[in-house]
Amino acid sequence: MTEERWPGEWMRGVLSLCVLRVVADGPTYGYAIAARLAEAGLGSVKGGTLYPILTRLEAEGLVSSSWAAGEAGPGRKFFTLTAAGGQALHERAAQWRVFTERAAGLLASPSVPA
Amino acid sequence: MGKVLNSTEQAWCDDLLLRLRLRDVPGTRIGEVLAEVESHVAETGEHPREAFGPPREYADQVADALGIRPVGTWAWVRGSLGVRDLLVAVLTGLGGFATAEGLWSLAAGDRSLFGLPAWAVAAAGALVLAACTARFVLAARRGDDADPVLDPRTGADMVPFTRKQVALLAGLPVLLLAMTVVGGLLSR
Repeated sequence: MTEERWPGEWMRGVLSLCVLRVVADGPTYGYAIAARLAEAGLGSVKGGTLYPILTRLEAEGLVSSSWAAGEAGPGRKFFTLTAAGGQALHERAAQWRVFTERAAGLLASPSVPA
Repeated sequence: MGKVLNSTEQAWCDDLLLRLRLRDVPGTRIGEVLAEVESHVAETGEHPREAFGPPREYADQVADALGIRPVGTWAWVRGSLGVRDLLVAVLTGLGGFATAEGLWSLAAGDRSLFGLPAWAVAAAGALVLAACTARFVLAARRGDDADPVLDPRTGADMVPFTRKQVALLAGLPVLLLAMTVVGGLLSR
């Protein structure tokens, strides 16, 4: 499978929502979130992009975090969806659906040569 | 918490810590960020620079994510330097000078500043110096502006003063004062 690379501006627009969606599947940590995003076909997301998004989501009260000790090594920071996060995910995902449908509709319309 | 980073990784983290401080990110949050980097690097085997980019840019991203506005260098210097700090710095300088001058005169067998007895000048200087040191140490330990970088996993201070640093900080002035005494003796 070739590595997908999407335009940066698209990723910036939707990554935060996708991260919220991944966290909605249950408490998870940075590396697992990145792996899940890659598996979904969104390409590899660097730590430098991912953790500030999680920080912002936490500052907005949409996710909460706690540290769990690893068997060996420095431990993992687990992120959990909050009630406000669930609400925000529901609303923004619905908005995103409408937005992408409209964009797809426009892009699919046959172009009329002038 | 064992050492999990090699020296170039640690250097990257040290640089990040400094950049986060310069962006006025709170100490507890800096601890979170450093622990995240450690955890991520252990998990992926990547070098921090590879995963997080240059420390300065990553610090900016973190500060932006927290809604902390960038501060200009001069504003930062002015904001972090209080009148009291300046006063302590000046007093430390004067105390150091008086101690050295007193010790030199004592060793040389002369009278000291303004014709005062050398032992008195040395003692007064040492007293001022000791008070300034105490004030500095207390402020660094648990002052309002201490804001230590705390490890979110253990609650421990992530950048404690090591014995080596304390030895260097205390040892250098003591060495200089000892050399002053020697200088005074030689001038007899």
